[in-house]
Amino acid sequence: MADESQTNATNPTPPATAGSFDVFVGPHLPVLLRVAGSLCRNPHDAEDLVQDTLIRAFKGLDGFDGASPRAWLLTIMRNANMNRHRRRRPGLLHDTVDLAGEVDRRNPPAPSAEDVAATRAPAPWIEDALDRLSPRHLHVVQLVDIDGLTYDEAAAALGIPAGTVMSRLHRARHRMRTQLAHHPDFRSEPR
Amino acid sequence: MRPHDMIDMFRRKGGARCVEVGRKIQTYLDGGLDPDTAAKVSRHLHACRRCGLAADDFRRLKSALAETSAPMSAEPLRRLQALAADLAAGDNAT
Ligand SMILES: [Zn+2]
Repeated sequence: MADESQTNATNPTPPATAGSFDVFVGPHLPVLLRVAGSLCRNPHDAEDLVQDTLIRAFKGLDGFDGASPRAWLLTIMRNANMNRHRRRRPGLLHDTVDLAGEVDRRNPPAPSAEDVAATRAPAPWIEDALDRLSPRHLHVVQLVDIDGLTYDEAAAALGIPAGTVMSRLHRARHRMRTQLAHHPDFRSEPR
Repeated sequence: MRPHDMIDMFRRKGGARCVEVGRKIQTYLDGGLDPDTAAKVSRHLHACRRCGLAADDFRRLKSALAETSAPMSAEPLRRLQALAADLAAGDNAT
């Protein structure tokens, strides 16, 4: 227990060259799709957003400095997402939460039969606790604790400083813990 | 120093440390502390029941959250991988 190291470390990424673009982005596709799923209202839009992101990333490959590929891709995705919203809803440009859209956890992409077999349903108490979070808090919990991003990657995806990600996340978890304090399924030990 | 003064002193010391550790528990569990600080926090969590239980709560919360992750369908991933391969191959007809 003494060694609780970072659990969401990035896979090693091959160098970013046009010819091996697919090898370079391949390891990040699941995360991109997952994050897109939390930014978009339906699975179709999420896939579209990742497509946009890939095309933009390919075009911008020369400008990539080689550090934190996942954060780089997530920044591109955020810009692509803002562009889509700008086209559709020009009035909502100043608030990141509105821009990113509502987090729609109730309508995740339809899983295949084998996916369903591989997962068990989340505990109802955690669903309740998530439903009570503000959209701002839900966003960071979704990106870091559910989608598995680091603080820096979540910061890139939301366009806010990593310190803000951390303080929002900590406050959100603190609230959830307080709220769950007397829930019999959450507390295994009496105090 | 009388025994109850010592107990009082320890309690105050422990209290101050609990507040300090309390602020670091989440960063510790996220793996964001430097090794020296992490070792200090870890020692305190083992020695102090209150802080140890708080850490257990956050651990349980984090693992429950990780389990809510919706399953990924394979089809969209396959299409996206194919798009990336097309781009790499210089085939921009998308
Ligand atoms: Zn303590």
